[in-house]
Amino acid sequence: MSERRWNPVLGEWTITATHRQDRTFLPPPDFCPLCPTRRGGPLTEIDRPDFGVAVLDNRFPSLALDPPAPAIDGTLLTPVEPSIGACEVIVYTPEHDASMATIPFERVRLLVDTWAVRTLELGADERIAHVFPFENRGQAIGVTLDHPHGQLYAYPTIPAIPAAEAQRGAAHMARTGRCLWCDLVEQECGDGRRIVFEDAYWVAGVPFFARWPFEIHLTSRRHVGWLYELTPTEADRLAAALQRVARAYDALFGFVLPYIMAVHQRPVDGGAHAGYHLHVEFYPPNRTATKLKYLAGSEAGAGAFINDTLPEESAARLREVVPTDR
Amino acid sequence: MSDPAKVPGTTVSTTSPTPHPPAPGDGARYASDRRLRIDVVTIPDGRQIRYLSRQTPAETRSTRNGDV
Repeated sequence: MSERRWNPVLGEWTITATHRQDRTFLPPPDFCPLCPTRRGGPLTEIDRPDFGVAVLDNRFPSLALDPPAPAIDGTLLTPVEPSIGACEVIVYTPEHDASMATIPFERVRLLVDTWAVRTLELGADERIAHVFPFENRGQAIGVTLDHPHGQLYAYPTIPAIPAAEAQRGAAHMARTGRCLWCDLVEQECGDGRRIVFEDAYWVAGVPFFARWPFEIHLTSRRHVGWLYELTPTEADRLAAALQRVARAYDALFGFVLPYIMAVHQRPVDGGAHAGYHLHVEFYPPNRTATKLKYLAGSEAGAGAFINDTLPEESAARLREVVPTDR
Repeated sequence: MSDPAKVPGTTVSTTSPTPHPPAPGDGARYASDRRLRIDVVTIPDGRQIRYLSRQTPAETRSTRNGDV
């Protein structure tokens, strides 16, 4: 059963997806469904020994282009809608033990183009309002498959966070005539204390207002909204920057650091959203090598994040371990 | 001469497609422009798997000549 239920209190949709309770949960490597099928082994999702990047319709989707009818009736106060959309799994490599940090650069570059082309193909469907590539890495984040992969969700409405960003970006542009993210990049590069690395195309830094101890935002210098607007050179440099972030995280405590990677691009609902600026956000949950930050009372109950670290100090630590450019 | 991409603070002029929301056919055009090969496989339960790879220069020439 899957449907979207309206929350009139917060003004957002909750997606129910009860079938996901039965999804594959941390299988041993020999039974990984994202590894290529081996001779004599169990059938997997991947029918060929090698590939560049593979995009699979999720076997346990929360959203689908042909969703089932809702299993419950809504009311005027709490409407219910079908879970229209798409959930895709993006497999980075046939290698089970690899990661964003260790796969060849060409695969990361292909991943960037994969995000762009799926944004174009799904975004052309008038029922889709927002396309969101992301990666959950590490069991601390709640991944159910260890094989290196990300996901891409296409939503029928703009979810709460990109909607808030679009609204704030539009308000800033209306007030100043400038892009909010362009102004943040200018401020942060001028200050320098929170920059982790930068080049002519991308700036990586711990935000002034970071919610997570080692949060990094990767922002394009040029004002672009969608992934598919990137020039080939900008896409090259994004791929290189994604690997630098992943490698810096792995060097920080000496182990593969769990993280959430969220690609924030302009909605595809047909609205103007001229103030929205493409950027990639990373949220590792670790505040030390052995301690995690949890979403507890203030964060989960009030929406007020409390960061136990100073972004300036976190950025300095990340600068010490970030690898040099390739 | 140093690579401007690696010089912090250097702005390099770029060109990119005119920004607009996605329209039908844009995905195929992007794939062609960026030399992407996309093999779509439908598996028995009806789901699709897309395998993406980068075309070799020879494949690109062949595609542009209409041979593939």
